[in-house]
Amino acid sequence: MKPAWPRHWSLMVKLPLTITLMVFAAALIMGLVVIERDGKRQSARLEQQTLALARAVAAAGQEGLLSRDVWALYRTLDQLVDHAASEGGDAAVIDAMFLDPSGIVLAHTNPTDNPIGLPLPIGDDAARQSLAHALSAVSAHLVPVDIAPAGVIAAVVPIRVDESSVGLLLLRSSTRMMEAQLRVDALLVLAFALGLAFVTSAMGSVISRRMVSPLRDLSLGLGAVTRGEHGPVPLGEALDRDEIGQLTEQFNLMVDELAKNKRLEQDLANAERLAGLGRFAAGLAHEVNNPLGGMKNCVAMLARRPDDVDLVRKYVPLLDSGLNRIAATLQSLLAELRGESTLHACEMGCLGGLEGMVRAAIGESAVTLEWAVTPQDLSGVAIRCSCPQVNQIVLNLTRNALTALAGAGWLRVATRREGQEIVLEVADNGPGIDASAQRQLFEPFYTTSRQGSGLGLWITYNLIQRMGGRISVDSAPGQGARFTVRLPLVAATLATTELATTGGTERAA
Amino acid sequence: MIDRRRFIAATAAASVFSAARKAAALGAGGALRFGLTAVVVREHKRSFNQLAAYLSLRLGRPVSFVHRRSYDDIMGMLARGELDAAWICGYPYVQPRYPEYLALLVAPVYLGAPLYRSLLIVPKDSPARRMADLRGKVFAFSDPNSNSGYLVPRGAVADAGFDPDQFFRLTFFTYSHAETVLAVARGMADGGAVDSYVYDVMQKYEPDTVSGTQVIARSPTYGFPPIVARQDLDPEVRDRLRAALVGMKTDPEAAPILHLLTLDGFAEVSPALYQPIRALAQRAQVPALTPAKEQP
Repeated sequence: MKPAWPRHWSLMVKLPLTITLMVFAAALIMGLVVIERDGKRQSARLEQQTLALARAVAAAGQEGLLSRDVWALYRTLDQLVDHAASEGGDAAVIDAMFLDPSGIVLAHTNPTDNPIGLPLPIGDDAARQSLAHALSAVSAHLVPVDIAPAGVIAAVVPIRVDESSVGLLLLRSSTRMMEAQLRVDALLVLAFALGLAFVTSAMGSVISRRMVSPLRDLSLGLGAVTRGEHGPVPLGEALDRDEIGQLTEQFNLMVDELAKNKRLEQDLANAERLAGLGRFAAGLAHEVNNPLGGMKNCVAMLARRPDDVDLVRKYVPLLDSGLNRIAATLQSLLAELRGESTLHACEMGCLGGLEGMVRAAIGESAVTLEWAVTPQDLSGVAIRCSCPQVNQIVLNLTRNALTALAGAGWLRVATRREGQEIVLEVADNGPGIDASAQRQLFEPFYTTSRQGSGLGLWITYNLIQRMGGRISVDSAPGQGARFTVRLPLVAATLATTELATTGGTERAA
Repeated sequence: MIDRRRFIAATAAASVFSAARKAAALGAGGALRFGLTAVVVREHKRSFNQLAAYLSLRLGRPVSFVHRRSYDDIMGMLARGELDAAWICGYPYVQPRYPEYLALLVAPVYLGAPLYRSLLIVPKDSPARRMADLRGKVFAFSDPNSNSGYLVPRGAVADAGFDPDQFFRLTFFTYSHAETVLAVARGMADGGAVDSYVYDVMQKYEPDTVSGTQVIARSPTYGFPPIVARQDLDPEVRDRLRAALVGMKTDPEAAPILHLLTLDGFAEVSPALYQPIRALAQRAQVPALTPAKEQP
């Protein structure tokens, strides 16, 4: 989520950049194609202009050529070439010349370098051959040869009288002006493409901002959901009814639904907690009731023989112990009812008082209980818990086991220490649980019995989770079931004497 | 080719001679037709418009200037009576005519005398310093009937001991002293011969062209190209024309025109002034001085 620049470029950058580059490339290519076409057209026009000018000059010079009036020929060249230049045409005339049939210069626009009465001073043999070819030509034409190097258009007009050559006109014009114009055009096209790219990049960034910012909000929202924050995620309103808009809307619905489910789960958990407390209260009543019978007997005996000191010495400690136990049980119930669910370290000794409750649950049924909870093993170690919760875990698991045994079989509850973990096992030899049922075992509302709410194991699972522990089941149909709870140890600094004392092994029958 | 042109001109002149007399007589009451040649800067039109206006006023009849490219054209027109007067060169003037149909009117006075020179010019950066340096080069003449632009340079070549017909690689005629200056300035010709008066006037009006050239030799003085009239022009008109031209020197109204023309005025001169040109023509080995058909 963090903007890692520049390794990951945001869509907000990539999208307008792509659009801009594409528009720029398209504008550039189109412009260059236009220039290319225009260049060809201009080139053709320049060739035509050059040829037309050459024809005009040749026609004007015919009389002078016949009479060998070199000054008249020069004046013709001078005036027509000057005229062509002043007309501002593209045909920037480099030079023009009248040659006699043997290639002798009769007139040249640059007489200093091309003296009249001498052969045209041209460089190599190839050029000379080209000139010879031009001299033998019959019709006006352009020479794309050595007389006309790159950037030069040369027009040759043979001047013939009565089918015999009297000389020729050679006119060369430069394409430089045209090329300069084309370069200016190319720069204009480039500037236009850049301008267009600038405009589209601005437009692209606006569009992508509209498109991408809801995506980013969605991404942030999904991150929040992933972290388990089911609270309302601040999501922008969908700007358009396009795909992204629909996605945003669907996401908002999903978050609402998740939040609703979360609330429902919490409600259910609360309800189950209260139901659990109810069951606990029932057990508690039994727990309280156990000593009460003996205590009532003691009180009755003491009332009958108030002066029997031996009797007082014997029964008062018993009454005190029974009352202490009831007080401790009630205290933990009050804590639970007040919702003091904060976890603190507790000694495992608090499990000691559970046996009676489990036996009470077994009652008269033919279930053999093996109670292998050994407080000696557990003394001095602590886990993150509250005693009622640990009791609730054991009670839930034993209740399930007793349900599965349906009144006959054996039930084993055992604890041991394995490294930095306390292991708590509840095993039975009931009908067992098949693999598919095992997968759903800890889901809420999953139940196989008609009376069950399907919440017992789910609550157990949640309690264990809160303690940082884990639960597993080992079972197969017909093989019984063994639930194993592993709870991590914490430093035993919070061990309380109260728990230690109440965890004493005073057992009621 | 020049021979042929001259031959045609002379033949034409002879055949239309008598008809021309009649035409001239008929046209006596009309405009006075004045021919101009390369001896003046024809392009300098303003000065001639003013001169025409001035002479019209003095003569009491319109005066129109007629420009032709070559001396031959003007001489032919004079012979045929198509012109009443003309400003020609000393060389055509001294060429024999049978019968004589021209009368010497006046000669312009330039720098205090009716004299001028021929200047040998080369391009500004040319290394040539004398006529001998131009051997095998291209040379621009003004007109085959020009003294300063043709006879003098040919004479100079002959004086240097060369054959004027073989000395240059190529020669051409510009039919105008001004264009000779242009041809040399542009490098079309490696050398040229021009009228010193025209060169001076050009220096005033076309300094850019003149600055492309340099003068490497000056000829001795010759009689300034004269103004002639048809011999059969009404003597009264001829006298008035001569008087008007001569009078310009002292007429304040004519001063601006003379200033434009860069002349001191006009003066009556003796035909003997042009005798040296005849001698030069023989030295310069020019073709026959007399029209072919009318040689005695």
